[in-house]
Formats: sequence, structure tokens, C-alpha cells
Amino acid sequence: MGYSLWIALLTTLICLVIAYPVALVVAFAAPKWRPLLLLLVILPFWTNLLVRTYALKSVLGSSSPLSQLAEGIYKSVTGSETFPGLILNDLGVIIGLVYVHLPFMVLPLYTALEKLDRSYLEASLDLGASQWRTFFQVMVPLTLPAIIAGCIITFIPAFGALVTPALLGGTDSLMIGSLIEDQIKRANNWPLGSALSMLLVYATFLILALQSWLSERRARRTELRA
Amino acid sequence: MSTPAGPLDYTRRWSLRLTVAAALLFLYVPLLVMMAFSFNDSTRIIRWEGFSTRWYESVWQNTALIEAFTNSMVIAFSATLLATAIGTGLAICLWRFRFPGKTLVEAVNGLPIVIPEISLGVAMMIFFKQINWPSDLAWPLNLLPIIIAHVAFAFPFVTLVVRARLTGFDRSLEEAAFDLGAGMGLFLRDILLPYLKPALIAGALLAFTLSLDDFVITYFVSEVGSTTLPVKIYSQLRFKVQPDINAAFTVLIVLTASIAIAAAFILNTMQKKNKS
Repeated sequence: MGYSLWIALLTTLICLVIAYPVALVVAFAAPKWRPLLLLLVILPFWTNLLVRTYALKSVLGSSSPLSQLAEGIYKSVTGSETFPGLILNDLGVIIGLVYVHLPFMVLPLYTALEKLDRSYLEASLDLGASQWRTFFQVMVPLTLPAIIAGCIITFIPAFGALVTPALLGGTDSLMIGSLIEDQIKRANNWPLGSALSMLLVYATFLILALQSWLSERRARRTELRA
Repeated sequence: MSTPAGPLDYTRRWSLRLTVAAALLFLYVPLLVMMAFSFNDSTRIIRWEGFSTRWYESVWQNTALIEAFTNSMVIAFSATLLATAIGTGLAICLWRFRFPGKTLVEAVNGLPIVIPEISLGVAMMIFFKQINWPSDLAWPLNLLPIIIAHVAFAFPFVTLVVRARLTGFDRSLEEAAFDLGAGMGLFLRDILLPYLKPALIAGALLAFTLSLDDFVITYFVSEVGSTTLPVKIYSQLRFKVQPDINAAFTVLIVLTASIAIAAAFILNTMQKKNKS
């Protein structure tokens, strides 16, 4: 459970770091390029989850050129004799989950950035703030609801993922999804399997309740200010 | 490109461009490599040894895969039909009528969209076992539990799409129809459904891809004789990696991607019409 939590949190964070610049570029691109760029980001999302995970597995497998390159770098940097590999361990699970869930994060961020009133950014830059300061003190606060939404719709499926840890994880990468699969499909322990699935449902509700509480508080605050 | 980049021209910053290029490479390289290697004339997965379509032939001759593919198609078509009907009906009810518990129905409708797939799968499986659903029915009746499960998670998406379209509906058309003596049936057939057509098509395509692509829920509900293509491939993947999987997956990608592009295109033109 704790292990699933860490993996899912780390996945969400990495997705956010990669997705924000992507969403920014797509949202600020010339209007004629925007639909094409957006389609490019969404299209992998429409291919089967199993297909994508399998494709990633063959590209990152131990005999693939990419893995051999990483092995060379790893050995020369750390000086160690053994290379843990890119997949069949926790790293593999995280790469896989980021790969699968990236579009989930890009979409809400793109929507928010596209609607964002650019005069705020211009004002901030005109008044002498640097690009970084504008980013952290203007752009991020203004798109915070979308950041939260993106994190939620990335975190929930990553937390309950089944296919990715099964195909890309090691034998000890037992996420809650694999645990449920084990209990239901192999151990025939349905009560435990159901309890674990319900834990996922409770977690989902808790997160959604938290989000609506936060957004209500935000709305009330802006009302007070106005 | 002769003018210098303005402070807000993020698209023209090289650091950001590189990030986007890297992200797109990350998303596409694995899929493209897999598609390329589906034409590889070698039993080894990773070495390129010339062009061949032998793996497509081998998929074609693999009766277990073809059987699973047929199951997938039967399930996807039936589930799409039912999910579109139920989803549209619900959307119209939620739009047209006020009734006690409406907010509850709306909230419940959103549930399958947010609840983790694996929990839905476990719930469906236990439901069918608890009501003692007969597991020895002949084909295609043995696919019914999967069809029901797919309808259950796909129709809320149809409802979403149809409701989005309904918000743009001009209510005076409805009043005019009733003033001119049309009944509810005539109004639905001649006014509302033609107006909803793009949403119906988009919703149906969405339901179709969702059903065709679903692995997790089907994995829990399916029985020995009722496996779908993704479930079949998953069970084979766990034992060993076979090159013909590349070919089977490439077929699946092309199929779902073309359906998805069609759906996106229809939704896009719908939004443009709504705006104008």
C-alpha cells in the first residue's frame, strides 16, 4: 500500500514536470498548429494500454540498444560491475506509468493555459519580474486548479495500475493492483481482494472530496476579495 | 520567423521546443519501433533481418487469436449499441426533466469515470458470481457478462458527450414543435435526434474504442471460453514474447487510432458549429 502510494506520487510528479512545458508550448503555439500538436499528444492515449506497455518493454528490454547505452553510462559513472536494468524493477514501473499517463496530465493543463488571460503574464513581465518569477508567481497560481485536476486524474489510475507493474516491474514490485489480481485470480481469496479494491475506491472518494473542498474554499476566498 | 521572439512566444524557445520534442519521442518511439518490427523477418525480437509479412500471416493462422478478436468485435458492437441507447436516454432525461434524486443520478453517472478500473472489474466479477450467472452458456451468449460490464462503464461517457451537445439546443425549437401539435415521440424523432446526430456518432465511437481497448475489467469478468483479444494477448505475454504479437498489436493500434481520429474530428466540427 505504502509502496503503491510512493510509486503513484512519484509518477504524478514526473508527469507534471514533463507535461507542463508541453502544455505550455501547445497552448501558445500558432492556432493552426494547435489541433495537430494536441492530437499528437492524445493519440497514444487511444492506443491500447497493453500495447503501449508491451512496446515500451521491447524498447527498454535488456537486449535493446537503449538499455545497452544506459548500461554503458551507468557502469562508467558509478563504476559498478552490475547494471540493474531499465525495466523489471521499480524504475521500469515508474517509466511505464509516466509513459501511460502523460496525456492525462497534459490535457487539463493545456485547457487552463489556453484560457489563461495573457495580459497577466505581460503585466508581470512589464513590471520587471523574470520569466521564472512570472512562471512561479503568476502562471502556476492561475493554473493551480488544472494542476490539481491533472494530478488527480494521473494519480488515481496510477495508484490502481495493474498491467504496467505486472509487465515492467520486478518480482518485488507488488503494487496494490497486482495484489488484487493475486488474491482474486490465484489465491481465490475474494474477501481480501474485494477489500483491497474498496480501499482504492475509498482513496478515490477521499481525493475527490478533498478537491471539491479546496475548490469551494478558493471560490469563497475570491468572492470575499471581490 | 524574422522578427525576434517576444517574451510570450514560448513556442519559439529552444529549451521548450526540445522538451516537447523529447516528450513526443518518448510517446511515439516505442510504438513506431514495435510497428516496424512487426514487419521484421526474424524470430528474434530485437534484430532487424529484412522486410516480411510473415507475422501477419502467422496471426491470421492463429485460431486462438482470431477467435478472441471475433469475441472482441461482437462485444464491442453490442456494447456500443446498448451504451449509446442508454447513455443518450439518460442524457435526455437529465436535460429535459427535473425529478427527485437528480443530483444523485448525475453523481452516480460520473462514478465509472473516476473509479479505478480494477475496482470496477472486481465488483463486476463478484456480482456475476453472486447472482449465479450461468457460466456454461453457448457462444455468443457466454459473452453477455462482458457486454453488460462494458455497457456499464461506457454509457456514462456517452451521456457526457450527448449532454454537452444538448446544452447548445435551442429550446424554442422544442416549443415550436409542441405548439404545432407534435407529440413527444415525433419531437424526439424529427427534431432532437437529428440535432444530436454528431454527438451520437462521437459517443458511439468513444464507446466502441473503450470496449475494444478494455483489458482490466474484461480480465476479471471473462471466463475460459469468452476471452477478448487484449486478455488473450496478456495471457500469452506472461509466458513468452512472440514476434507475432507485434503484428497483432499493430492491427489493433491502426484500428483504434483510426476510430479515435474519426471521433475527434466529429467532436471538433461539432464544437465549431456550436460556437458559430
